[in-house]
Amino acid sequence: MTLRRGEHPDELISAAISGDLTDDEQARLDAHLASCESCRQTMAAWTEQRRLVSGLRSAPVPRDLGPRIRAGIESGAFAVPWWRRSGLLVGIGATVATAAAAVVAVAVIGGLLPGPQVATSVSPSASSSTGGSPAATASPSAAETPAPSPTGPAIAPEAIPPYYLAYAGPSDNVTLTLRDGDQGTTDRELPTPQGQPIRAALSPNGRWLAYITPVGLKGTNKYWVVNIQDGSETVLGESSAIGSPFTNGLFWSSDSRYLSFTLTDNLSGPETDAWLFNTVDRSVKPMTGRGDVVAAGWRTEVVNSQLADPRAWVSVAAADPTSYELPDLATASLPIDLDQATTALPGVFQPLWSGDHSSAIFWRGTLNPSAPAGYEFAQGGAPYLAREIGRNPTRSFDAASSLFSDVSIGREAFTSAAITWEALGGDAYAVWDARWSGPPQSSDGAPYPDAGRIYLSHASDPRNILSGHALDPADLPANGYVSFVAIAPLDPDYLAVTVGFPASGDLALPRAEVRLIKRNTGTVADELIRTLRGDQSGWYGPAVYPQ
Amino acid sequence: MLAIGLRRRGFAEVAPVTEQAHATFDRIFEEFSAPIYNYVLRMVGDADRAADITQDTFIKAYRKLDSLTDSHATKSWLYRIATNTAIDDMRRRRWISPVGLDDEGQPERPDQGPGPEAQVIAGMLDERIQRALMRLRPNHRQCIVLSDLEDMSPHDIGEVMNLSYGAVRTLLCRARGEMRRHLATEGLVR
Repeated sequence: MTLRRGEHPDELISAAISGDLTDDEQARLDAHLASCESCRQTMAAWTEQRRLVSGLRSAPVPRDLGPRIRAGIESGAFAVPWWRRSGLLVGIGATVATAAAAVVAVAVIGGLLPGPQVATSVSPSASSSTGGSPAATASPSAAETPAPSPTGPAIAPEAIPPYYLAYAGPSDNVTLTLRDGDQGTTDRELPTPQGQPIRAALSPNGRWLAYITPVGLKGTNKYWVVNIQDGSETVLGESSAIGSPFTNGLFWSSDSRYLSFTLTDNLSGPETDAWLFNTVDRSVKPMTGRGDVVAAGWRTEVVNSQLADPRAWVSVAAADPTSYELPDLATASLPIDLDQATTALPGVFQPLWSGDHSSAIFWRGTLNPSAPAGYEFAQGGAPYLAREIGRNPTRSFDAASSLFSDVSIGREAFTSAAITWEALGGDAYAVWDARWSGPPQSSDGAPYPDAGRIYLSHASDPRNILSGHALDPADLPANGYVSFVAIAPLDPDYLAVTVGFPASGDLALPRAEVRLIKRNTGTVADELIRTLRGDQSGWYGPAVYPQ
Repeated sequence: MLAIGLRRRGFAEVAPVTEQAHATFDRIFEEFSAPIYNYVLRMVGDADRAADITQDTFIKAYRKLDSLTDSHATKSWLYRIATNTAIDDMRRRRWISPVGLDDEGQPERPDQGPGPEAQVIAGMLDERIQRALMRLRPNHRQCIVLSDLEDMSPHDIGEVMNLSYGAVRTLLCRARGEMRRHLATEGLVR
């Protein structure tokens, strides 16, 4: 190492501390130190800090470490990723890491092993005002089902495998199972519905799975929740099958205590309200009773680096929508009169909060509540991103920016779109099925915004979504459609995309598969890591991560 | 000694390892379990995580035992496994801070008495040094711990971190500079 005039030989000082200097280097360093007070101070400070670090006391090894290693070797168990370790649970905690309140959370899925099969069923109708009493029903079979053979290469070591639902089997014996996306093994047999699961949401603690299935040709959807540990099921209700993504959301509170969702009863005219499932007493109750309300996300405030009790939000689906934060559900009596709401935000529809609780995506525009396909925006509708939601969300929502930042919106509208956030402390989000009523806005004439593409971005990206945020279409089959998207928590470059295929006939089982896709940047193409589907034709999806 | 379990039924079914390999693994565990656990503890700053990572490290080591051809390289080989395992854990937990939850999502109240962390990282001085270490970027922390706590030479650190000798010297220099700022914040150096 040659010293230039005025240069401080920090690297030589560091090497001297480590006792790693040649004679020549030592001589040059000595010569420099003789005339440089700054470097003498550096030498003294670094010597002291080495002394401090080397003096750190040794901690005793946990007494059970040897037996644990022995047991691990004997059982063949191997380096289970921390978030999937059996016996641990998904927890939520938080520290504020940045001024933007980058909330951090910990999540460990555990207990996804079959246990005693005890089932209860509560089946309120959408129009009933309270949930019924739990009643015993036949328990689902605990019989082992053959493990499917996931196709494609093994999942890259860094990819977090999701769980996914599988609705498959011979036509006279179709079953619904929850499968491990890593091993392809069946973790839980679920009650057999009359149709394929179209939406699903895993609670943040990994213990509850909620999902929606169509009910034959009735034109209704059934809402379910299953306790993954004990296998007990609860039917949350039945709802008119509206195609709008605004009504099929399943929203878990960050403490996994509550699930909110929307049920619509069309028998007596469209009556839509937000409902609540309480995991503690397993009750199912309407949160609202107006007939024009949809469930939205949960806002969780960060107070002293910890998460406060989550607050439920709902939105009145009128032409000029308004969103409300409900009072504490632990003490409120249901259904709640919206006059009791703690916050009301006119012009805001269905806010969905990010996994790090720092941001929210919501809608603005003129809603058409009686559109043929269900709720959709008629004019000027678009999703917006509000950053840095704090104790005064009003201010943050006022400063929100259009999610598709390169789309000019006049009288046109995004009539609807499906949106999902990365969970558990993340800030990535994906948008798909973005239905745009105006002409394409790309310079090359390609459809943009494109309802068939998936757009992936982060709340920390000030550009929001640009056309370049779309995933490569080559990773999705041309004859399929995106049914659901889940973002891998902590690895938001990985997406689990449920791709549905049009049924080949009225009697044919619907088909879907899960594609694990790695999002790359720059000129590197996105990568199809693996396709999850079983040996038998069937509906494999949605894939889920903890919400 | 770890040997008891490894010679029981089931061990051979997992991997056909020779008696000599059993003895090698026993020796490795006996000699390195404490240093590896402490190294990982300084890297991740959490006793439970350190135990998990140490466990995974030794299971991986057991399974890769046949790749250890030079017994003199055991230390760097094992530290490399531990390092990669810890980095993988840290990468997955970025933005993550563990807070426990009870059965249905209620935050656990912290124990008012001395917890495992307090027992492990006892004393205010150790605590302040550890706090400074945790503020380092991971590769700087790793370099400092391997050099100043484990007393490894730059050559050995390069083996563990898969870096050239020159790269280690540069990295260590930067790490010392960063560590000095954090220790100064703690009032421990100027």
